[in-house]
Amino acid sequence: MPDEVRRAFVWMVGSLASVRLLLASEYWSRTLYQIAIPVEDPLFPQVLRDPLVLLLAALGPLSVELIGMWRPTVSKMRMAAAVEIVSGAVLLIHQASFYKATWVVIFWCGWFLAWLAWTAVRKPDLIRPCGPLLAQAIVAYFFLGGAVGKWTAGYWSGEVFQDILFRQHPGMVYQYLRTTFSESTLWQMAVIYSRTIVLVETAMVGIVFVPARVASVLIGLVSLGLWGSSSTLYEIAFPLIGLAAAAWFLSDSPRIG
Amino acid sequence: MDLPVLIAARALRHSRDGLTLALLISLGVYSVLISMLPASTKASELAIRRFHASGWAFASWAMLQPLPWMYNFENRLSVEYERNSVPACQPRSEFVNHQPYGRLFATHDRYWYRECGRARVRFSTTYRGLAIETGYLVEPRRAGTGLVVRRD
Repeated sequence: MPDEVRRAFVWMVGSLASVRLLLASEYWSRTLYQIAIPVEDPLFPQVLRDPLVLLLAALGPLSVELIGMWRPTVSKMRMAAAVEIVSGAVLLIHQASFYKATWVVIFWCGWFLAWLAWTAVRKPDLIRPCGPLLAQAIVAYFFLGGAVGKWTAGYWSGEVFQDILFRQHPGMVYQYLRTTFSESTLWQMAVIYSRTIVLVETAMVGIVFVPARVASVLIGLVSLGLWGSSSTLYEIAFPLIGLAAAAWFLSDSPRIG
Repeated sequence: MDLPVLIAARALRHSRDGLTLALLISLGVYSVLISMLPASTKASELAIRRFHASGWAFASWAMLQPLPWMYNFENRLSVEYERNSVPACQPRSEFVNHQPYGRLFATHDRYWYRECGRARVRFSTTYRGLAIETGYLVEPRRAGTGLVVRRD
């Protein structure tokens, strides 16, 4: 297996494993609530309200991720890819987790791992031309989804983020801002913050057209910025950093043909 | 300097790969669906109703879950509890980031729906001039523990 593929895989799986580790106690708690206060609703079939399905899908892949990272082989890579895709798919449609964007990201990262485990291993001539492009295309896709929904007056005026973050968010940074600054200053911050997010997300759709190494650095920087804006956004930032690292390593693959 | 997508296209012409093509085409199809949101009122309406789980069968709703929907639309959640004499059970109205239907199931929300008795929950979502409201009732189950959600 080419070294760059192994490195890309380790970074990618490592980023997903770190997200799962950090989410472990939250999903344990969600499972307990699913047991203690079950909710019957018109949309979800019984199996997708099941607490054990939730727990297995959320935390089961950890073992495969950690084993896969240790001296990866092709079979470990394929197992990890399959497990990430299934886990992401289940959690995207489970009652207790469907509304978490984390699983959209992990689902598609699972497919990227599948590309590494099958295509990159069997067809090394496609690693350099297609690997970084696929990573960049996935990142551009995430930002397209995020940007389009924010092309509204409410986001441009700052009203939505003012309420969700500056008024409600329990994070330390926002608590500090609420106790330190006046309401009018917080509004101004919300406007600047909101417009920055809309513009950056819209611009990031173009990342698919940028050379791989430049794209890799930009994705890394934007991901760190996302994480800095809210500590809980590690769920999105870490996998993006994994994709950025993969694009970097794969762009170094020798040209074949 | 060639665009990355042109370099990839040339390589795939030489060495066809089904998985690469399938992934790029899937991303392309889903991207077209996303791009229809600002261009089509019907697409926006369907997307908002999907966020409200209103008028969508589970299978078709599930097929679109891999679409990225982070902080999409202006979603407002309003809750009125039956036991509103209790300080923690006061009516509230706030923006939520995405998938407002999820606020019927989040751990914190479940707890208060149970503690505060029956709740009338309203989702109001706007996007570029389109506004849609959907109401749900959250009630304790008649037999056993837990809650039941139904359209209001």
